[in-house]
Amino acid sequence: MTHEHPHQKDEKLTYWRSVDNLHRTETYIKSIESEFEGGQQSEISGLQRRSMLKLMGASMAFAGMGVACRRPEAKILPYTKQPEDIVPGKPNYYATVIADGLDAVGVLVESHEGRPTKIEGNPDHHGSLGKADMAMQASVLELYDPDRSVTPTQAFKGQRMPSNWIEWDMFAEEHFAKLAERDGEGLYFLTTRTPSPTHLRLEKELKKRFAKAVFFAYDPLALDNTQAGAALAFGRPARVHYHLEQAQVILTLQADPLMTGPEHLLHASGFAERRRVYDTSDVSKMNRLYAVEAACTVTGSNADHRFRLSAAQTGDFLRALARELFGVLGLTLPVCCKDGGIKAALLDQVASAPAFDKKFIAALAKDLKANMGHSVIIVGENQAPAVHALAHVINMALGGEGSTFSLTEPSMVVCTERSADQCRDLVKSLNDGKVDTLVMLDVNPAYNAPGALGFAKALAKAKTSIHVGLYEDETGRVASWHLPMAHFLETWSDAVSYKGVASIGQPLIAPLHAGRSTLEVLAQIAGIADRKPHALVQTTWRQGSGVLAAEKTWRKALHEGVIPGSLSAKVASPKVDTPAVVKALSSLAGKAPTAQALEVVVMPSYTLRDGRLANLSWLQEMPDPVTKIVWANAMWIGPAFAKKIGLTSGLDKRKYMGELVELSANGVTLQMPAYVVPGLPDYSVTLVLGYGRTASGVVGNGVGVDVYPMLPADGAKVFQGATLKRLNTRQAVPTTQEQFAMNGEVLQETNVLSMQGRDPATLMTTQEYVRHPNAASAKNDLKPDLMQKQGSELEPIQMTKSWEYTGNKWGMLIDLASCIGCNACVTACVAENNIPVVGPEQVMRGRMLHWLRVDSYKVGPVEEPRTILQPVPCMHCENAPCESVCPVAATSHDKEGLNVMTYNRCVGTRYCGNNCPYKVRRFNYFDFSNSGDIYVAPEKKERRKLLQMQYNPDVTVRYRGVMEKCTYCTQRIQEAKIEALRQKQDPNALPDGAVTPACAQTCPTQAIVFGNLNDPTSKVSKLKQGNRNYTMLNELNVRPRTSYLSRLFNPNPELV
Amino acid sequence: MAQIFPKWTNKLPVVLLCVILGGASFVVFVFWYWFSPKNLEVGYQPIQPVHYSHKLHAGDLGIDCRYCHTGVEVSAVAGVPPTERCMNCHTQVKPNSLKLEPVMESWRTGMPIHWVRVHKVADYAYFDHSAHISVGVGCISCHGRVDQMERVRVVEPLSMGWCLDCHRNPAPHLRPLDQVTNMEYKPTEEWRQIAKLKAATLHPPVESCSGCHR
Repeated sequence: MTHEHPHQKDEKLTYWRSVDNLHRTETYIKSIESEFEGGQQSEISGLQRRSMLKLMGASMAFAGMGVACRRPEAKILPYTKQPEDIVPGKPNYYATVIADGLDAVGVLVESHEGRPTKIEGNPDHHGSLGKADMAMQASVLELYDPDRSVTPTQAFKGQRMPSNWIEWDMFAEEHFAKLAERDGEGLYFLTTRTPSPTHLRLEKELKKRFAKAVFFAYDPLALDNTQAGAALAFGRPARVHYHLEQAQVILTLQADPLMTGPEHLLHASGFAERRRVYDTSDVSKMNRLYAVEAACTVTGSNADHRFRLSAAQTGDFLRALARELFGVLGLTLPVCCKDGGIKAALLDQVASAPAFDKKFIAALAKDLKANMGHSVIIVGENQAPAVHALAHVINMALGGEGSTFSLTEPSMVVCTERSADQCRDLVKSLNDGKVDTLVMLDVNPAYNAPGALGFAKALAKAKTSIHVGLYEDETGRVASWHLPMAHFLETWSDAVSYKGVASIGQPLIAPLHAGRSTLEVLAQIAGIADRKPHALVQTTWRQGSGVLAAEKTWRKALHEGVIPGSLSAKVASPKVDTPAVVKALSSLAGKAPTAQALEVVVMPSYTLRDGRLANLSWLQEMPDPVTKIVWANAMWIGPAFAKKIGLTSGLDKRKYMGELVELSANGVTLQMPAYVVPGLPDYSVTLVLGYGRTASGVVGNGVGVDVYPMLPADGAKVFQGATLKRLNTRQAVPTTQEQFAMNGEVLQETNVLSMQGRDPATLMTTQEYVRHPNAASAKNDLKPDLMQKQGSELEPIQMTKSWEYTGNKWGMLIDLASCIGCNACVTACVAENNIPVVGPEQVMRGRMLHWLRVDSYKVGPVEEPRTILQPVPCMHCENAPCESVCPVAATSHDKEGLNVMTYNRCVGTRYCGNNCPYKVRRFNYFDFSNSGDIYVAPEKKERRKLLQMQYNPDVTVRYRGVMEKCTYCTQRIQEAKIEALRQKQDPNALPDGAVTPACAQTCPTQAIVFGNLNDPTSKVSKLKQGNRNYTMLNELNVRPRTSYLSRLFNPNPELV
Repeated sequence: MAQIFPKWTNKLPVVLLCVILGGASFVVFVFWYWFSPKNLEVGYQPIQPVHYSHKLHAGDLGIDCRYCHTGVEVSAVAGVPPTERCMNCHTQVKPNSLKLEPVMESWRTGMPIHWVRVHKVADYAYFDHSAHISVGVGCISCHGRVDQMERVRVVEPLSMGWCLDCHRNPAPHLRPLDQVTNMEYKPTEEWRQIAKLKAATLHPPVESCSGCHR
């Protein structure tokens, strides 16, 4: 089978979902024959038909005996003293801050009578701008996680013994007093690199008591290379901030600025800002993204040109580009910076340099130079510091400083040492027997330290080890003491963002499990008398002439979530240290991987990050933005290599069966299923961190394969020389990539309807757009046979009476050019709408309950496809096929155009789901919402008790046997209308912006626009007039209310 | 010749009739008693933990509804007052009354009073007090003459049909906004005309399920 380029065959593009889908293999066709899998019994349920009948009989008998009572007596328990700010039934919002690696993002937390339920971004915080990503949204679930540790525990003769805080306090007082006598010799601390000023202050206090104490910080996702690269280039530590809203041409090298790392929300919003093309005249303003990468990232999926390249050769690539820029195009460094012989050094080794696609490099270099001052190169963390440094040199030469990027002093936390080195040094100290007491705060090195270090083994050599964490995890399990940590929503804290903006974190709820904050534990060890987190944070900010000394400023900082004036200083007139970079250039050369010596790229999971979020079922069930894998990780492998070795991974009987392989590298062999990812380089495979937890909790334990053991001692995320062995057996990989397909494959096969040209997505390049501006909107014209005479005019055929909208008329628009497919909207939807989790087994049966999904289509050859990511909520059709088939009128049209579900009417025939062409209806096959965060047997329902505290009280919790779907967040619409009534305004003419659904609210790129179509001045009305606007599957005449702006690529004309 | 049917079969028709009638009425009873909607019980009047008299407070003393039910204008729920609200007066008024003992206990211990819920809309219907108060629907329309009740009782069925009766024809239930809590209010002829005009602008959800079901 050959991979034909679709353009060669005919003009029409072929949109495909997977390699199997493109080639339409026989097993594939068989696999997708029916939408739903037959039979609804499941071994998990445990409640079979027979026992069901028994139970029914028994309950009837009990009823007859008068056990049941007619009206259950419900109680109302008012406050004794009602807090001033609380009005029962109305949520309050509080600002706080989430520290995440080196960054901190401000959030607003919705609280219902003291119960935090939802997290939104804080619009006043520069790092959030009101947007929140997947992890931020899910952190509220972490608060209520039933698997959090609830009590201190102690190791005793190889067993864990429950202890309590009194015992710990007694132990700590005596133990640390003894250590203090020895000036803290043998006292070691291991923390995350938390950007907390109070934490740093307490470290200083600790040094007063324990002069010889040693502090280490470890974070597996630390930005070691990025920091070292900046230091190398500028001759001083500095933080580089990218302002993508200023960038016309962006080149990323193994980088993923839109999804990971500090300020990724800002990157995403800045990137999208330059992709808002509403007319052909906007085309010239559209940015162009080139991505050079080995792993498939979200940034790469959004690139206008994606160039797949092994991570090892990236340095050579950049050097070739630099040669083109400095050598051929005559780029020069700014006056301030010495040339340092960079040109000579670059031209020196031309002969030995590997050859890349000359045309690509020439065009790229030309584009970068042509947009001087508005072009930028971003290098990923997995590249050596020298690559970062060379990129900084080019960036300086391109004149982007102050425009596309800026430099600030590293705020507060100055850590020049590499995180991985610190971990290595600690293990060495442990092995040398130097460590008497090791205090580990909010870290889990027994799981996430590089395997080569053997941390868990070394930890046993510490006489006393103390672990403070949310969970009794892999480290807590083996430490001599484990202490439960307070969640950030339960305690006072402070944090400084990457740019240096400080925020105070305030608690929303008292600790659920009497956990203590890390600050509290540090203060206790330091011997501070008042160690309440509130007092500790206050001391940092209010003592003496502290910034927030005045009560008013303190309260204002709490209210706004931002401490005014706390931005880091800009680095004044930065200079590149060219000679140092030139010297480092020699380390750039890399060898291309081969089939015998594969390259392994390790990336953090988009959902679980480094694994600390593994017990959050929302994130486990959140499809990976690239592969759509849920509840598992797999080895990503390129289609060409997969074909070469005859890999049998693919769809079979509705499930993705990944062939098991053994991957050996660094002396470690891992066994895992292989998943074919179009667009991966031939001899580079990708592994995902964060899985294979053994002590995360019921949800995360045993999900996927732990990749940390394979990491070398220096923590490198890229390594060479790996070998692959096929095991000729297959394992199911839960993925939603092939589910809810709506391109009519089956119908096409059986010729029931002619579904040719049934393309849900629409893609065009800017050149095509300029040539045919109305190509997308032309799809909105109906065929004449779907029209009928209505008076004197032709109108589309309507199944029911024609709707008239006198008040509001809601509509949604999704701009596929700005959507990056980050899944923040899906997570927000789950949090807002009480959407239950169903578990991997049920996902594979196509029973996932997400109301909003992000479909991923590919166009072009399997080796180098283009990606289209398309969020699909309910379309709220005018001519809704679901409404007409419901036998009980449970789904109906409302007078504002919503297609609504009345759950208590639904009897579960699933006719509506069958008849929905967009496959957005979800059925509760089991009592998913009653079983908590993981679908388990009914007897384990106590998990739900804590988790249900997260539920949104304004949305019904759906029961088994009920159909559900996106409601456009009807609860928010109703609340806005009622609020208008309260304000004595007209609820039937709400102003634009009065209603924002959860997905649109959190969308970092503002790709989702919602509003009133009856208001011609609303944003959504205006955008729907544009010529890129199209409705999905328009030929069906269901007339959706959700429409799209076509996916737009902006390729370099020289490369088309 | 022996009888084909023994003598007791003479009673069979009567016995059968009794069994069928008894069985049928039992089935009717079962459905009426256990399977009829639990929120439609007009006349439900549970015993409350405190002998609180709405007749005394709202009727005789004339305290406005909103003195205790503060949320009614701003929130979906009207709210049951915190113990503190009782103590605003009862630190001075009859502080030693035995009837007040549960309130005093709650005040001393900080434990809430367990009031028994009287009015209950079905779980799947989202009723909002403030929406109704804001347009001028009087308390009396759903709760009846609370000012004449020693113990509060349900006077309207709170069923969907009952809701829709009013949603289809709101005019008779509308009042001037300053008369919403007035239990004695009688509309003037002039107001009736105004109310009709006002009702025409309201468009409360009738066929739009999303108005009440989310």
